Amino acid sequence: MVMKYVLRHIPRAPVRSLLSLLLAAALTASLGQFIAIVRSNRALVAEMYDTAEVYASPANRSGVVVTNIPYGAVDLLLSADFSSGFYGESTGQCYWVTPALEDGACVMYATTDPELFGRAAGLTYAEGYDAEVFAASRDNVCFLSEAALENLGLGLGDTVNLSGAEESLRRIYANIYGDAFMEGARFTVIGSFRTGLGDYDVLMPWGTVKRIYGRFYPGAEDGDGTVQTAVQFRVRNDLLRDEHAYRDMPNELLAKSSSQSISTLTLRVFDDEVQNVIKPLEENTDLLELLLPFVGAAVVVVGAAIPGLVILQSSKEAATMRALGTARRRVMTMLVCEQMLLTLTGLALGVFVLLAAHGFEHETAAQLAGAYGYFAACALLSAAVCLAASAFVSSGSALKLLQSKE
Amino acid sequence: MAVISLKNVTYSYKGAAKPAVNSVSCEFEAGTLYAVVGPSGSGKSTLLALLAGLDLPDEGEVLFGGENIAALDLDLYRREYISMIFQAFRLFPLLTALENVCYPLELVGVKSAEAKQRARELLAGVGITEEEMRRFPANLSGGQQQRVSIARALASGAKVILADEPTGNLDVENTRTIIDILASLADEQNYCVIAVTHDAEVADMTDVVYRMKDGVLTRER
Repeated sequence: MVMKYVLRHIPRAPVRSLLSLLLAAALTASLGQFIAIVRSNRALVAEMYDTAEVYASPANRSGVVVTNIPYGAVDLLLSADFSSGFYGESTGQCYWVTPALEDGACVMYATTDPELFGRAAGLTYAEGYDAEVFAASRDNVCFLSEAALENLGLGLGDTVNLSGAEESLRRIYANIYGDAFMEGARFTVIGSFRTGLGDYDVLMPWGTVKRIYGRFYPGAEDGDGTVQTAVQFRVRNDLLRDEHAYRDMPNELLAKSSSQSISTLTLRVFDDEVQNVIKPLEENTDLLELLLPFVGAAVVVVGAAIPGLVILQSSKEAATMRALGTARRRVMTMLVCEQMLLTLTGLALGVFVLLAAHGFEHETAAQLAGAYGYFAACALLSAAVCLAASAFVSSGSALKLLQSKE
Repeated sequence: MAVISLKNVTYSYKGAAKPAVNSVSCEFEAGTLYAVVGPSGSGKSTLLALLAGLDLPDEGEVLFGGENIAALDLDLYRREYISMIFQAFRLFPLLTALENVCYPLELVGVKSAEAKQRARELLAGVGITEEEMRRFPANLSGGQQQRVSIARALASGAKVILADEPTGNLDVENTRTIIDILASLADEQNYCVIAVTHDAEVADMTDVVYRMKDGVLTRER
C-alpha cells in the first residue's frame, strides 16, 4: 500500500515532484561542482608548484643581476641546497677553428644538470652516460649540438680537442681534428642536444669546468676566481611554498661569506609566477576550502528542509489518513518514502549530471570523493527531517483538522 | 441498545478557562439519524472528535458496544468501527473518486480488484457515475465530493457514521440529497448516523436532535 501511494502521488503531483527532484539534483550538482572546483584548483596548485620554473641569479645589493660571478659563490649557493642545479655561461666565448666555422662565436656552458629548464632539449647520451653520470663527472667530457655533430662529421664517443689561447679559457679554440695547435685537452663527446643552445655551443659538467678553471686560475676553486657569468639556479620545486628556504637562507649564507666578493652578492629570485599566479590561486583555493563546510552545510540544510516542508504541506492529507484509521507509522512511512524517493533520485541525478558535465572523467569522480560525504549527510538529514515532519503532521493535527471549517 | 455512548465525558483544551465538553452523558443507537446542533464554539465538533477517538476525554468514558474505547487500538477503532464525513470533504486530492473509496478497503487488506468492485458499487449507490468515478476530487462538484465522501465512509463497513457539518459547504439541493442518503442509511441499513450541524432545516430532517451549549449536551427532540 505504501508503494502504491508513493507511485500514485509522484506522477500525479508533477510540478511538486519535479521541483523536489530538480532542486535536489541542482543542489547536489552545484555542491559537487563547488567541491570539484576546489579539488581541481588544489591539484592545479600542487601541479604548478611541481612544475614551475623558478630561477635565481646572483645580483648586487640593489638587486641588479651581475656578471663575473666567483665560482666559489656558485658552490656556496649550491651548498645552500635550495636549488636543483644551475646553468652557468663561461665568461669568454669559444671560437671553433674549423674552416667552416672560422670566427664563429659560441658559448661554453657549465651545468649540474643538462636537462635543467629545458635549456638543452632533446638530449641523447653516449652509451654508459646519463644525467647522473654527467652531473658527477669531472672528466673531460662535453655535449655538442646535433647540428654541430652533423656538420662536423662527428658522432657520440668521438674526441675533440678544446684548447685555450694564452693559457686562458677566455678564448677557447677547438681543433676537432685532434691536432692541437696550442696546448689543450681532449674532450669526449658524451652527448648531443637538439635545441636550446646555439648550434656550436659546448656544454660541460660543472665539475669539469671547475677543474679546468682551477688549472688556469689557481685558487679559483677557493672561491676567488671570477669565472662565470649569467648564472641561473633552478629553485627546488619542493621548496617553492617556503619562501624563507629559497630566498632568505641562501642570502644569509652569501652574507656570511668571508670573501668580500661573495658577501656583497645577493640572490635575486625570479619567482613572479609563484607570487602572481600560484600563490593567489592557492589563497583563493584556501578561501574556497574554508567556505566549503559552510556552503556544504547550507546546501545540506536546504536540501533536507525542502522535503520536510513538502511533508508539512501534506498535513491535511495526513490528518485525514489518521482520521480514517491509518496507523501513524504507516502515514509516516508513506510521506517519508515519497519524499526520500524524490530526494535520493534527485541526488543521483545531480551526481550523474555532474559527472556527465565532466565527461565521466575518472579524475572528476576522484575529486568528488569529498562530496559524497556531503551527499550522504544530505540524505541522512533529509531522512531525519522527513521523519520529524511526518511525525508532526501525523500527531495531534488530526483533531485540529476535524475542527477546521472551510 | 446503544451502539456508542458517552458517560460523564469532560474535555478541556489546554489553557482554556472552561471545558469544551462538560460532563456529557448520552447514548446513540443503531438505525437512528442524530443531529447535534448549537452555536459555534459550543463544543459540537469536540464531542464528535471524542466519539471518533481522535482524542480521549479528560474525565468519563466513550463506550463502543459497552467497551471503553480508551482500551481499544484507536487506529483500529477508526478503521473498522466508526467512519467520518467532513464538511470540507477531505478527499485525497491526488486520488480519483474510485481510489478514494478504495482507500479504507485497502487499509483493511482487501485486494485491489475486489476493493475497486466494492467501491464502484458504493459510489453507484450514492449516484456517482462511472465517468465521475475516474475524476479527481477537484473535478467534482461539492455535492459529488460529499457523496464520494459518504461512499468512502461506508466502505469500511463501520456501522457508526460521524458527520461534521456534512452539508455545510453545499447548496439546498445537494443538502437535501446528502441528508436523504444519511437518513436512508439509518432507516434502511440500520446505521447510527450522528451529524453535527448548524442548519435547523437539516436538524428537522433527523430522528433525534441534541443541542450543545457551553459544553453541555441536552436532548431537544
